[in-house]
Amino acid sequence: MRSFKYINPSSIQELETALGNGKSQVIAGGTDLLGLVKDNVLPSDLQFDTIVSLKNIPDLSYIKEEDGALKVGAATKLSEIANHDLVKEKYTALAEAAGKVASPHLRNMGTIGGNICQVNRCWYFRGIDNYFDCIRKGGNICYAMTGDNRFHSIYGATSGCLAVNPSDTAPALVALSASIVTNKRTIPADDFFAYNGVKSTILDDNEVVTEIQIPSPAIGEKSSFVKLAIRKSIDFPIVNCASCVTIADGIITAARICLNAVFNNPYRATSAEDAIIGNTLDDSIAATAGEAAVENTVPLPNGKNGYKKAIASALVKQSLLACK
Amino acid sequence: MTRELNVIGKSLPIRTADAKVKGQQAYISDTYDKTSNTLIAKTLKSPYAHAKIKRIDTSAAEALPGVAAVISYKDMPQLMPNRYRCAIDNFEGPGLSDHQKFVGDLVAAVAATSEEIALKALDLIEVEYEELDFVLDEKEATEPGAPVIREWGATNNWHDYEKAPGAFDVFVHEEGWGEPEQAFAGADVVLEGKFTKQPIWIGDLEPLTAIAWWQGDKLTIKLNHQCPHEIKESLAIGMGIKMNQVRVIIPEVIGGTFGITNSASRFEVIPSLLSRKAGGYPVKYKMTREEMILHKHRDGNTQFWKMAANYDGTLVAVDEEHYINNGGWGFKGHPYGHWYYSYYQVPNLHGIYFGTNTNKVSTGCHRGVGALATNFGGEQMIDMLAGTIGMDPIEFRKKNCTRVQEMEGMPYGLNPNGIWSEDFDRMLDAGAERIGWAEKFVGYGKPYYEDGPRKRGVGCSIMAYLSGVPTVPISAIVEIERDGTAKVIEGQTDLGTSSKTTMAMIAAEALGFKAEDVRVCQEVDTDGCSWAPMTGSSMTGQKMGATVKLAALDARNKLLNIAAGVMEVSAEDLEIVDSIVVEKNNPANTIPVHDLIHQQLLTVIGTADYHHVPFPPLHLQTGACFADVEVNTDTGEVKVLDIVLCHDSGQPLNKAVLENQVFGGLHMGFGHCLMESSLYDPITGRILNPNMIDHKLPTTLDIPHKADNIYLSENLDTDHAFGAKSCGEGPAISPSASIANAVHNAIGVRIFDEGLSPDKILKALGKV
Repeated sequence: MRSFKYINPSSIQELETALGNGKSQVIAGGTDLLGLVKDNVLPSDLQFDTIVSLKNIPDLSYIKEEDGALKVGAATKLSEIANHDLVKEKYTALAEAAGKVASPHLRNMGTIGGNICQVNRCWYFRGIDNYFDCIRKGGNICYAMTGDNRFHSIYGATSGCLAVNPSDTAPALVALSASIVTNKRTIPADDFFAYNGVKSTILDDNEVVTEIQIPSPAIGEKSSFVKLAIRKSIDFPIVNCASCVTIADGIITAARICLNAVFNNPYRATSAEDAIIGNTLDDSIAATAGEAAVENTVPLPNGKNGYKKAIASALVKQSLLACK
Repeated sequence: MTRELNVIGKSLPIRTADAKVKGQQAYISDTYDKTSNTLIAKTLKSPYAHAKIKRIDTSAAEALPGVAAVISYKDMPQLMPNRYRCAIDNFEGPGLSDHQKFVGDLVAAVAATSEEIALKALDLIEVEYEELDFVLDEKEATEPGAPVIREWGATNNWHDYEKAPGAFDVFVHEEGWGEPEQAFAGADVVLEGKFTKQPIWIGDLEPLTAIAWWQGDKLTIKLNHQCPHEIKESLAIGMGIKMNQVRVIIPEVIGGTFGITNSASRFEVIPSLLSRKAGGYPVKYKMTREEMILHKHRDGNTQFWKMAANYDGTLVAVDEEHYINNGGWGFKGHPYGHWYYSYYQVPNLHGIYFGTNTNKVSTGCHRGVGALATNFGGEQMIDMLAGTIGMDPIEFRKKNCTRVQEMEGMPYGLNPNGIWSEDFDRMLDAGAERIGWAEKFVGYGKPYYEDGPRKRGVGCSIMAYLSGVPTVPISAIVEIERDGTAKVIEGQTDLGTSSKTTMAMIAAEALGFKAEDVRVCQEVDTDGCSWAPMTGSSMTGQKMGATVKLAALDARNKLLNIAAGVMEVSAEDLEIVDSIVVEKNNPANTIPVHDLIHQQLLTVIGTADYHHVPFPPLHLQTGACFADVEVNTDTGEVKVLDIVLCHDSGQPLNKAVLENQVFGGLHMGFGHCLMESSLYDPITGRILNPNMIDHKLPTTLDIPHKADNIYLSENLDTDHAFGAKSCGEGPAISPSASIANAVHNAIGVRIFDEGLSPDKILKALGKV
């Protein structure tokens, strides 16, 4: 493994200073970052030489309800969120999503902040020793366009890149109308994930997530999360989906549906939301929503990712019915 | 046959289990003594799927301070390509070559005082390649104009290679009997099917690690390997020295290798050559996870089947054509298909098998070898055929399976004594009852239960597999210690199957000793033990078991002769029970073995070598597997609700080990069927998933919650290892076809391409 400088600040101010140069990277649980370093994924001009730890910064790990919102510290372990009674009861999609990330060991290490900041997933991008100099790393082509793209985007490519956002918690946060608090500002989850061909999020170089906020559920609001992966014990999703539905007098009055692992960013299925508002939540309307959700997909014509469309449609349906 | 057994058949704890479970067991891959002069080896890999090295310059790397040796193909012993081999023809190339056959193939190796320096030195090696066309598909590799990958033959077919001068005697297969063409023409039903099996990294978890050093003209190598004695031979040939100048040490415990170290390979050649060039200093070569995955695979396979039956349910003819993907350096010329048709009576057969080389990762031995691929296609064909003539799959199998009384003079199988008449009936009945076949099989392609998109079905398959190979050099020694305990010395690697504990049980049973009075030397040191064959081919329990038993009986006879003199009775009138010599007709007349040997100032050594071991015919291990699955037709997910594996391995030796083996095989077959696959980029030819996230080995949380093994141990008509057949490989063979047949019965469409992932299911259902 390459050697790097390791800084262990004890306050946000110290952290900001440490992140001053553009070649530094924040580490929390390290479950995504260390893989990138060990596998020597990045070309030398993109490699970071400094790792800045959140470990000694106080008050970044907590789960509390305050001012009409759930507040979760960015360094809170995923396993704590998954097992927290209040989260399970009122913010179900988040608990279910956190409980389905990777494996028990990784959930004990990985944090919610890290899970939403993880680097997009693509086996070309992640080829050991920077084998594929893909467009994401400054090369000319996206190898997945003509190669094996069975796990790649079905909603097109930002900046010519087909890598998907693989986070399980990200769609749950979008569906739950969460806000991401950083050392600089508060960002709606809808805007936080903004892949630009290099970075997965809107965060500046010296910006770090400090807290997640989710408004307390309205009366009649329920949420759910479903994930499809080949392996149940430790796997990234082929597709996942979170839904949050409010039902009043048997009628859907509000809905937020978010798919992930289908695009560079979590994909908010607004046409599916529109299709169900004003209706009764049943098998038929859930299926209609599933179909609406995948209307805009553009699987590669001669590619291998077409099947993800059927799965995305089915998961929208499943996650909606789980909100009944 | 019943016999009184005191030790055999019990579930005894494995000697090394305590330390393993507590995390105290040291593995060779964990150990590194920084105070020693051990050098670290690292390898340079080919960036191209297929290339020739036009020029290689290692001088800058050699000049780097801290670098002790650099080797390339130029340092390979001249003898190697034609002579370097294992006793079982598991040849895998000369170690380093100027011909790069896949991305990750080895170009050069460096030994340096630290890993950092070794890696830096690799960057300093200058290589000029000539890039060549590459081919990944095993069938395309045989077509005219395909790139020539095996330089010592005219094409990529072993068939042609066999005719090439200086060739190996690797068998190529075209065989058959009866009149297949006529039989197909006259049959009521003829079906054809093409099946494929993906290549798979077999999941050997402990990093392959070898430490080699030279003292004068003697090479010592310590490594995790399945064939200590065979590599002693091959290293001696390769290094140009005698076999008694090579010492191979296998630590007392190694990680499971499942066949992958069942051959001579670059793994032991590289550190041996580096150490010699570095003046004898120890060189440690430890592979990373990616290097493990690039080292060796289970082969991919394409099969074309044609089968015919009559409406009365008689199987009348089989035609099979197999293409075996050996990757760059693999060697298999045969899918072991004859084990497949050994479990059916096939009066007319034609089979042809092409062992091809491609630009994928090399393949080699692995649990069940080609039988997994053959079973996946063949047992689905059997279901298709039975379905077409309208016969229950169990009835069709019972009607056509091999029965010993009908085999005499017939060509089926390896050996007409291999399968007993009722074997498959018993297993099919037991499995059917346990899975609830009578209620759940409601017709081919028909689910027995539906809930929206969720549909359920059951399926079955049978298998038979070898129990060891017929002829191998083998030996064992049993020494009675001065305190009356026994020490067994046998030279097979214990690769996680607890064979050393099993051998102690066999020796204790044969000697008449208490189990705790017998120990086996756990570490293998070829300077300290006699020749033994590799741990593989499902022969450890059966073949080494028989040999240890004979050595123990030899020691027992010597003990009884000594006791006869002391006790003043004839040796025939004595027996040993619980480590005490007893006069059979006068149980009061006893002498503990401890007292006997201690008083007499004697040594007692029992031996057995090949000439003493009258190996009986091969009795095949047999099995049947039943699966109950649920398929979600919206998402393509397959969930195995219940799976039952019936296995007949004869007399269990250590019952706990048998259960572990059978369940482990089930686990492996399950993973092959539903999750695992090595995938390659079509543009560059590079493997895409050489890591344990993207190469999806099932974990304990993935395998079915409901899974059972049923053990049948009838027909113990040989006594050479107390009636044991084998259990190492067979259990991995049949789960995949059973699950595939069950999926077909649930959703009415069949998946011909193994790896039943959602994309394939959805495509078969017309949803993509």
